[in-house]
This record gives sequence, structure tokens and C-alpha cells, in this order.
Amino acid sequence: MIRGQNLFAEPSVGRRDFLKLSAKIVAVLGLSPTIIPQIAESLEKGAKPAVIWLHFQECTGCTESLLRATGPDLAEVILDVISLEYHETLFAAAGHQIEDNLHNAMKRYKGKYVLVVEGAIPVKENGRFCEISGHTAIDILKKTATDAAAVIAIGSCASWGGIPSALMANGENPTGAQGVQKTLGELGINKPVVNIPGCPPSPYNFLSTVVHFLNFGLPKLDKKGRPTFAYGTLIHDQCERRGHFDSGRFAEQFGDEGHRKGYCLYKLGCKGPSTFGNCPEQGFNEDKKWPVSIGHPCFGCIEAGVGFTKSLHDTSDMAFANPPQVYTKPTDPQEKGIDPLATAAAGLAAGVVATAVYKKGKALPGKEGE
Amino acid sequence: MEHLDPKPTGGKIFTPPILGMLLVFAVCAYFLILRYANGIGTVTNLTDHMSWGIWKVIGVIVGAALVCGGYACAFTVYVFNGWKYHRFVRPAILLSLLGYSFAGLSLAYDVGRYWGLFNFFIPKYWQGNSVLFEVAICVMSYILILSIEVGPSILEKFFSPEKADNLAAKLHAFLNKVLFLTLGFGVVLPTMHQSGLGGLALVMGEKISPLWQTPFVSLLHLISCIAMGYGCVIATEVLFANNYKDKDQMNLLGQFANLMKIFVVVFLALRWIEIIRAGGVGLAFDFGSGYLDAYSFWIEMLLFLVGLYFVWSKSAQSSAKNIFFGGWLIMLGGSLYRINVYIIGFHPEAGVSYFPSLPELIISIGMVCLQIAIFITIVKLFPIITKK
Repeated sequence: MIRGQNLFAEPSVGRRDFLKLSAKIVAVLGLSPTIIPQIAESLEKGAKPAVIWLHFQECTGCTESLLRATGPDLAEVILDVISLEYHETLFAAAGHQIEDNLHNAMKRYKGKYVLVVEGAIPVKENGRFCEISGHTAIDILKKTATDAAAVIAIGSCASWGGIPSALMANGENPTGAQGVQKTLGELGINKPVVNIPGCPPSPYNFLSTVVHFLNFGLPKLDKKGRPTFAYGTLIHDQCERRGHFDSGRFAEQFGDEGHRKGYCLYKLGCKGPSTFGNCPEQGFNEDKKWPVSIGHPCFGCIEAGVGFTKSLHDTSDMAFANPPQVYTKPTDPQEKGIDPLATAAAGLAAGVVATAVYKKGKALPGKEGE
Repeated sequence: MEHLDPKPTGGKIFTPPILGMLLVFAVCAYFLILRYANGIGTVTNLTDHMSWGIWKVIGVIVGAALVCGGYACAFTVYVFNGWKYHRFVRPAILLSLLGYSFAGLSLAYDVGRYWGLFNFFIPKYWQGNSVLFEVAICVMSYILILSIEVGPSILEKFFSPEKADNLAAKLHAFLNKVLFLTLGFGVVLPTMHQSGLGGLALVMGEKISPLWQTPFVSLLHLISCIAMGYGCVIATEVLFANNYKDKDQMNLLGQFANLMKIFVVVFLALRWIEIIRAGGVGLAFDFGSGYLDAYSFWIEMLLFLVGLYFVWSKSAQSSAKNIFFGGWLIMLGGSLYRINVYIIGFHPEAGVSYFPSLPELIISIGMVCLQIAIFITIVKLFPIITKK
């Protein structure tokens, strides 16, 4: 559906849209295509789990990228699939009205709703850096998470702190911003937390997690609580410029010959070798585009300790093995023609073997009677 | 099963031929150091167009086919129950082990970015759809299997049948127990990678002249490698066993020559059917094309046909001279066939040609010398050859 095409028509989602979306999700999850109808059916049926979506220290970029997904219009589908009970960006209501809705939803769907958190939680000075309707972020999280069925932390801020947790020049995290998992651990609330880091994460990683949750329960998570289907592989290992890295062809500066030819961006500070994610496969803007494909090194926004921590153009560490510091210089591949010495050597070797074989063979006994 | 009593042939180890071969290897080692110090481009004539030089084609593809004696023997003795040929197995397997190890080594120094080689040993990075991967994994496992097969003959030196209670004896007994497994793999793996080596040509598509390119190129490689294997067994037995008066031995070798003849006839028939079907007959007479194709094709045919002539009749097969020359010619024919497929008949782009450089050649020749020197030394020290 082209965006803006039916601004005034009733928003409607057909079976075809569901099938398209299901196919995409199945691809992201790496499942067998035979499962597409099952996913489409569950989407159509509208299991409609209640979702409470909280915003803390963040820029709303995750929500924005989710809303701008098309093919099919993700916002329409997701609003059809889930029952969004509370979302500060999307709600028409404001003030007491929306706060009441939050409390009602928490009561009505107690223990069943999915809590999605966007943004980091400041913990310094009793969390006074982020307050909504007079309550601090810690209090709101504590109340909502206690009765949630599962918690999804969307974006790097909610996953591990992100930009708000970036250190100042004096090495201080000014607001004590940190991720949801850590905060819940400190509060002693034991809930399964799925982290979908990224700045912003691909909307399909989020949606695939929700669909997986609806159909098969929580997806398989890695040690950092990230779904392995999206964050199981090193970006460096899937990168379209990997061949250049292996061949030792690097862009040395922005705009130099190597950069124009699309060489590896490792020396410009690409953090692909230390960042796990599916950006090269999944892409952004519905166009399979991602920073590296348009000539900018990966920033490592997904990875705690890399994005917003390491300087943009610092050389990345290697997750698995370090490359050699010195490469042998590639030689110009020119045809060199026939070397008389080489011909002589080949002839000599052939001659020695032929003579040896002939002499040996001649001395052997021949046919009987000869 | 007859009782076999292989013995070390004994004698001085550092004879003049061995010293000569080691000298050639010393020069080869010097160039190998240059190759690693200055990069592969400084010692070879490989280009982006002709990236497969003699290290791959002669070192691996021809090398692995020449030492197919182990495969041919295992095939004849264990699959077709030809126990009377059992005495040929040990030297053939040893030669195979050496040949394959050197083929693997050849691949290792042929890899330009050798620091990435370790990836091959990480299953996570395996690419199962690659023909080269299939060849590599089969060759590597076959080297392992061959070492297990050779194991008993080496171990026998370290214990006597009367006093069989040391570690070597226990290991020997264990290896004999799992022999059936290793033998099974020893037949399956070469079948896979020898046809895989032909499969490498298949993926080259139209870059290879119709004189050699056919959908059956894998099968052709497999058939010719078995014929070459028989040739190799005959040549080694004649060279090292040396007992022409033993009627039994000569009779068995004659039968091997007959098997070799059958395989070569099938090979040539299939070759010609495919050349005619692909419309390549004209190319065989196109001597003015600027390529060596036509010349090389007829030399290859000549080698096979003269080789066949030497072993054609029953009386010829009883002559040591005839089977020796026949075996060598067919080994040479099979080698030239492979060189033709991968170098001479391979035209990736108009006007592109390849001839190895001196260091490249010396490295290949030196490695072969080292291989032969090791083989002769092992035969002298360990019970490999059966003599009466």
C-alpha cells in the first residue's frame, strides 16, 4: 500500500496483507515457509493481547520507525493484532483521561498484558530526572512490570541505557540512566525481559518477537536477553563488504578512491566486527538499506559498550579473531608470459623422469619367448 | 586369504638419488620462504584470469589421481573380494597417503590469504554447496583414513608376534578391529572427491573447450583415476618388488594391467561419444586456432592409445616391460587429460594464457622429490613390500 494513497478511506487490512506480513516475519524468524498460513491465521484471528507501552528517557525514534514501516502498513496491522491500551505518542487523549486508562488496563489484564518499554530509566537522585504525571520512571516501571506477563525492552535505551547512559567528559553518567533488565533486577522483580536493542531497531525484529510470543511463546534469547533470530550473528559476518575486508581493501578516508569503490569501512571505524545484529539482512526504510550500504561505518548502536561508548572513528575490536596487522602487498596481476628458464626446468624434470622410466623399462624382461 | 610377509627392503638410506632429490627440495624450500615473505604474486604467474596454476592442477588434481593406487587396490581387493591382490595394498596405500598429504600441502601454500585457512576447520563456516569444499573435506578425511590404514605397517616394526604386549601391539590390534570401517571410508571418500575434482570442471561451464567439457566430466575423472591407480600400482611394484621370476606376482600384475585396459577403453569410448555429441570433432583438427588445444588433445590420445597397445594382448600382459611402459603411459595420459581440462583447454577470456614461473615449477618439482624420497625411505625401514 502506498502511503497516503487512502488517507480518507477506512483503514482496513485484508488477508493478502496478513499473508505478506506473515511471510516477512517468517523470513526474519528464519522459520519454514510452511508456517506462513498458521501465522497469518493467528494474526487474522486477532489474539489481541493487551499492550502497555511506556516511554522514559528516549527520543520516540523506536515508535517513529515502527509507525513508518510499510508493506503492509505495519501500524495498521499491529493495531489490529494487539490491543494497545496505553501509548503516549499514539493516544488522542491526554492528562487524567489517559492515566485512568493505564490504571484500568492494569487492573483488567492483570498478569496477562505485555509491557513494552521504550527509553532508559534514570536511577540517580531517586529517579527525579524523568517524571510522568508526578511519578518517577522507576515507580511507573515497578507498578506496571509487577503484573506484566512479559516485558519487551525496545531500543538501545531500554535495553542497556543507550544515549542517555553515555558518559560525559568527566566519566559520569549524569542521570544514572540504565536499561530495563538491570532496573528490574535491582527492584527484585523477576520477569522475562526481551531486549530489542538498536537505535532504532528494525521494526520487523520487534514485530517478529511479538508474533513469536503469540504463537510459540518467548523466542530463544542470548545471554544479553536478545532474540537469537535477530541478534545471533555478527554484522561483520553478513556484511556485503566482507570480501573487501578479507582481501585487505579498505577505504582510508571518506571520499577517497577506496571509499568511492565501496571498499571495507573497517579503517574508518566500522563497528561491524564487534556488533551482533541482522542489519545487513534486514535493512531499514523498507529498502534493505543500512549505514554501511550507503558508505558510513556501522556505529554499533545495538551493542552495549560499543555504541555511544566508543568514539565514532575508533577502530573496532574483533569479536572472534584479530586480523593480522600487516598484510603482504597485493601485486599487480599481470600476465607474465613464458620464462625460458622455467621451460628449461620443466623440460629437464620431464627428461629425467622419461629417461629413468625408459632405462628401467628397457632392462625389464619382455614377452615370453622373446 | 594367503599369508603375507612384507619386509623392509633395507639398504643405505642416503643414496645419491635420495640426496639429489633432497637438494631439489632445498631449492624448493627457499622459494617457499620467498612465497610467504613476499606474497604469492612474486613467485607465481597466476593472474585473476588464470588463478589455477600447477600447484592446484598438478599438485592436487593430477597428484591425487596419480596416487589412486590405494583407491584402486581397496576397490579391487575389498569390494570385489580380490584377496589374491592383497600384497599390492600396502605400498599403494602408503603412496596414496603421501600423495594426498602433499596434495593438501600444495593447496595450503596455494591459498593466497592463508591466514583465513583456519576457517576451514570451523564447521560453522562450512559451505556445503561448494564443490571445492566437498573436495577439501573428502581429501582431508581421506588423509586421516589413509593414515589409519598405513598405521599397522608402521606399528609392526615396534613389536614381534611372539612378544605382543606393548602399546604398539595393542594399537595394532585395535586398528585391525576397526579396519572394516576405515576400508569402507577408504572406498567411499575417493569416489566422492575424485568425481568432485571433475565437478570443479563442471562449474567452469563454457570456459572449458568442448573437447573436454561434458556433463560426464566427473565420471570421466573417476574412471581415468582408477585406470591411473592400476598403472601406479604396476609401476611401483615393478620398481620396488623387482621379482620378475615370481610367476605369481607377474600374473597378478598382468591381471591389473588387464583391468587398467578395460577402464581406459571405457574412458576413451565415453570421451569420444561426448566429443561427437558436443560437436567438438572439428576443434580436434583446428591446429591454427592459436591455442594448443588440438595438439594437446592428440598427444593425450596418443599416450592413452600407445599405453593400450602395450597392454592389449594376454601375452603382452605377461611381460614386465610391456606393463611397466603401459602403466606409465596411461598415468601420463591421465595426467595430461587433467592438465588439458584445467589449463590448456581452459579459456576464461580471449588471449589469456598461463605458463608457470620458475619458482612455481621448482616448488612443485621439489615437493614431488621430497615425497618420493620419503616413500623410498619408509619402504626401506618398514614392512611395506612383499617379496619372495
